[in-house]
Amino acid sequence: MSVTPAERRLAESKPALQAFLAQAAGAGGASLDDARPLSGGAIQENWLIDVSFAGGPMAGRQELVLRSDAHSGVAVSLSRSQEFRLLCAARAAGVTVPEPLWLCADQSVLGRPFYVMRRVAGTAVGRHIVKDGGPGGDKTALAQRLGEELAKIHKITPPNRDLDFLEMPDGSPALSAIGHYRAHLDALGQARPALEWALRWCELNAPPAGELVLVHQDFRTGNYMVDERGLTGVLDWEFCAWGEPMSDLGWFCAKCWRFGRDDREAGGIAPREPFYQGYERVSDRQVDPGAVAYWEVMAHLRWAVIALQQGERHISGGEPSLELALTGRRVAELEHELLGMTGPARWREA
Amino acid sequence: MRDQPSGANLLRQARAVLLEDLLGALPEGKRYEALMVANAMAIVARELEAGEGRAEERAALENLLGAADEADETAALKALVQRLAREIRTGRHDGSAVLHALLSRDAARRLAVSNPKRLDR
Repeated sequence: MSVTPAERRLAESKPALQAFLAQAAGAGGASLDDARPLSGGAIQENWLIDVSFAGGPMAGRQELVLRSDAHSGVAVSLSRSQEFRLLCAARAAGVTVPEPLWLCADQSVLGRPFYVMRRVAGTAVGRHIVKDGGPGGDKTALAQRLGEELAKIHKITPPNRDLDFLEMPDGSPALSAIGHYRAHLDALGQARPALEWALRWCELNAPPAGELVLVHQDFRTGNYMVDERGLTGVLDWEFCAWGEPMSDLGWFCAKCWRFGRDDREAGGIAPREPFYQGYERVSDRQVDPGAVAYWEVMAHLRWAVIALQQGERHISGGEPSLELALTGRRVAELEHELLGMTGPARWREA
Repeated sequence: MRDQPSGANLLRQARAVLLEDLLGALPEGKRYEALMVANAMAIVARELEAGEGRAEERAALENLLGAADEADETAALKALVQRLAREIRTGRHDGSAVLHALLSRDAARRLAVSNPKRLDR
């Protein structure tokens, strides 16, 4: 097997990493027995690490995950140290997350900041989870549980001193996001009439600014882990911000995140009802189906802008990748959906 | 004249070899990448067969926006699309059924290349 640059860098850092782990765990020593790269992180590097600790509260062999910034950091997402603080806040709020253990801001260890968390069992692969008989246990129960988890996340509200780094929308979260998407399109030099059409519809139909809560902003099938029985952890906290609670429900239910199971409107796993019921069981607020539908249009816009950006990372030559290239080609599908959701009749309702 | 078989034909045959002969011999961890390669090959084959349809696209846009000043076809098309995007953003086509039909046709044409399975949904 060939050694990737990332694997070489980790191997070179092994002594420093072991010393950090031993000290953080209050152990006499730590030995990195195995480290395997986890695919799927376009923005971060994730490693499955097996570590044997000598003494201390973690004594013995531990299965952990190390998460660091990727070598080519993308500025739009949060740093690993901010993500670590979010994981701690989420865990304190009762959200099912991998237990965050140690943050290392000292760049001399790995060359960039990283943190270590406990490994949770199972899989997060969306196209497997949505399959009939796929992992995750009873899918109605899973959808309910995910609704409950999301409601717990939304119980975290500003101001919050531990999360003071999170972006606060400038006025209406919807209008603020529309402004961002237009700026991204302009920065990419991409004239996309279909996206402009949907953006304009969203501008005219934007809900007024309401209460602000912690929004995960990437809460969807593919970003949570399940085992055979059900949920084991909510992942990918790097896009969190203060925002509209219904935006997370729209992202979860949007057709573009159902992995081909369009008939199961809650993330390709179940009907909406159990997901909404779970949410309302934990939250003091009712689900607003109209607002969720609005945020599903916004979800397609957001995904289209991200897909264009990912495609550009390949096209520019900076990061040649078949996956990024194919993602760039998914924009037509998103535009097709967006036009279907914003036909002329829907403008007259406005 | 180009030689036969056509580029699209060659690609489709290469894709069939990948999916029917090679895929099964790959380790499980490489399956997804092979399927991505097959997907890319299918997109290119469809794109080669579809052609670009620039003349039709330009005619439809000029019908809506008026003639482009640029003589060069590529420059004219680019300018028209940019003008349209700007005009939509500033509210000049709000709710226009004519524009919606044009945009839908254009998106469907591109989707027929990138992922035709999603067309009928």
